Amino acid sequence: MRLRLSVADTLATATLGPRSRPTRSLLSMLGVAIGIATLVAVIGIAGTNQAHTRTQLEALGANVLEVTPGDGPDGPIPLPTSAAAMIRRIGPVEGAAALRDLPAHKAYRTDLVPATMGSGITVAAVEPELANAMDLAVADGRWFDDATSAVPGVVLGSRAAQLLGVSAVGQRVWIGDEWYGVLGVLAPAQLAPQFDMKALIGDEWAIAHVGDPQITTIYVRSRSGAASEVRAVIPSTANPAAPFAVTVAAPSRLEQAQTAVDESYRALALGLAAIALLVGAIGIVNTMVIAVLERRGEIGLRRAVGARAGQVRLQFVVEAALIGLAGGAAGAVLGVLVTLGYGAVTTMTPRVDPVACAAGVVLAVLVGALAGAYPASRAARLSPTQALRGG
Amino acid sequence: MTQAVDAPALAVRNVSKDFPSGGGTLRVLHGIDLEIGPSAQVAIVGPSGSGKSTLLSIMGTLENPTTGDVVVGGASTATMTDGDKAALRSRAFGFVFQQFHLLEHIDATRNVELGLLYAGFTPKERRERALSALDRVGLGRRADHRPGQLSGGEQQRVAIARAIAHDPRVVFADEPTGALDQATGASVMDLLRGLTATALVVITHDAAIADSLPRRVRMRDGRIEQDVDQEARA
Repeated sequence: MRLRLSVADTLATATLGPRSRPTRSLLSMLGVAIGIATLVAVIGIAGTNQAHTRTQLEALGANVLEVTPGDGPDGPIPLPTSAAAMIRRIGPVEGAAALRDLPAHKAYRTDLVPATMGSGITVAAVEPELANAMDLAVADGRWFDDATSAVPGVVLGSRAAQLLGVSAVGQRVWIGDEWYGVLGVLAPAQLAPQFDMKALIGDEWAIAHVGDPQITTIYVRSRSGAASEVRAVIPSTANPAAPFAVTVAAPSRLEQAQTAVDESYRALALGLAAIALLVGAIGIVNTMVIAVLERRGEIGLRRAVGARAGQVRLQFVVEAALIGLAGGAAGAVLGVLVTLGYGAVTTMTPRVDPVACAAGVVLAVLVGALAGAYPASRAARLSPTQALRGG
Repeated sequence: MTQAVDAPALAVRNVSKDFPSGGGTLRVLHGIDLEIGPSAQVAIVGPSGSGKSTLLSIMGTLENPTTGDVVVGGASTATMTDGDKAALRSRAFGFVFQQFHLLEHIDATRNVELGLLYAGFTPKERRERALSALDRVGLGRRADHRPGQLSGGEQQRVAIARAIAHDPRVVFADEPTGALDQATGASVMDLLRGLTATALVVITHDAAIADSLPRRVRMRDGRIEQDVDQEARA
């Protein structure tokens, strides 16, 4: 005949321990609480960052695509010169412009620097359309127009200008083997940060005087939400004769950079959360081992009045699991508060992940139950006689 | 008028007990035979090391004999599992200890209910029996007091209430007055002696207590030296 305790009785029995020692129970749930708080906060902060980045990009109207030439059976096939103009005629496209890299050219402050020394600044020839396509703002001076696109003028990216020591429009920069006048300096480019380090010259001038630069990239900005539509249509629009030789990518370096930061940050913090949970589990094991030692008399008594060894074991496992539950719940609340605080401090809209909270609490209960297994089995194995004598 | 012979509430049949000791074993009990009738009141006395505590543990199924059997209400416990013996204890036995073994953070009623927790009673039944038992030991007014608010004698009464709330066959008391002063101890013994419809087995080193019970079993070196029915003498 097997007499079972009801669920209510089992829970009531398991809460006796923590209720009789509230401070110690509080301390033993601390480790688990910190672990779960870290988990929830990390996921919340990463989610907040990602949502913010996405919102920012969408606010900039950004659905950015980069079109690059690919290979045919006999080698690389260049993009036709009319490609950018054709792409601009696609409905949802709000701007498209071609860029031609000039890798052999370098930009210097004077003509006295040996050709072998680099400065990290790359030179490229661009269509005037680029400013609209990539939402480039000018901090000083002006951007290219059709007239200045045909003369030796240069617009510097924000970092390039700093490195070259150029602070005023009208100063001169030595590119290749002649002087270029500085037309303007760009503000930091949010949508395409790679332009910060570039020196840009007009493509009409470049095509006429600098050899035959091929199109390196066509930058395309489409209406929000239409990117995949546009993407599907670009290859045949850009190069009707060889659409297979057209590569379309959605780099959005800002989002990529953000994701990379988030991911490494998340990996680190999840590692910390795991360690905190481990420490929390050890804390629970410790507390329970001491509890079993202190409560030998109670254990012996329960056995005397008819508790089976398995019922004693269950009592302590449930007690440990309840400590885990309390720690997990407190940790989830704390993690949510940290996420909300992060949102307040950074003025971003906080994004709390309810699945992470629920998963954290479940994880905490499991950690508690596992931690309680060893002390509970020690309690179950106690000889009632010895427990009653000693206690 | 013929009275049917009462079947024993509990019978010890040729029980021996060995403990591991040093390199070998130490025999603490040697072939004990003992019968406890349904209303018997027995004192087990003997010097320290005589095996009386071990015998009580074995009689109460808290410990297994090395050889022999304990028969409770006609049922042999030698072949019972740990679960069966626990169930048996929950219904058939009550225990009173020298150190009371009450839980400090719950009140008297809940302490008594603890004795009923594993016996299959509903929560309502447990409450009713607990309050009734506390009444029987004279602590009806203190039902909501915690052990810390009770005197030593009162705490032992709560423990006795816990031991009888389920109407057991046998109440085992291991030095029940050991932590109490003379006068308190005497009143506790009065209470124990006043229990009817249950057998009583008391371990004691106190000669006066031993003499106050109708039957005295003296042990020495793991054997029963003497088993005297004191009422028969008087």
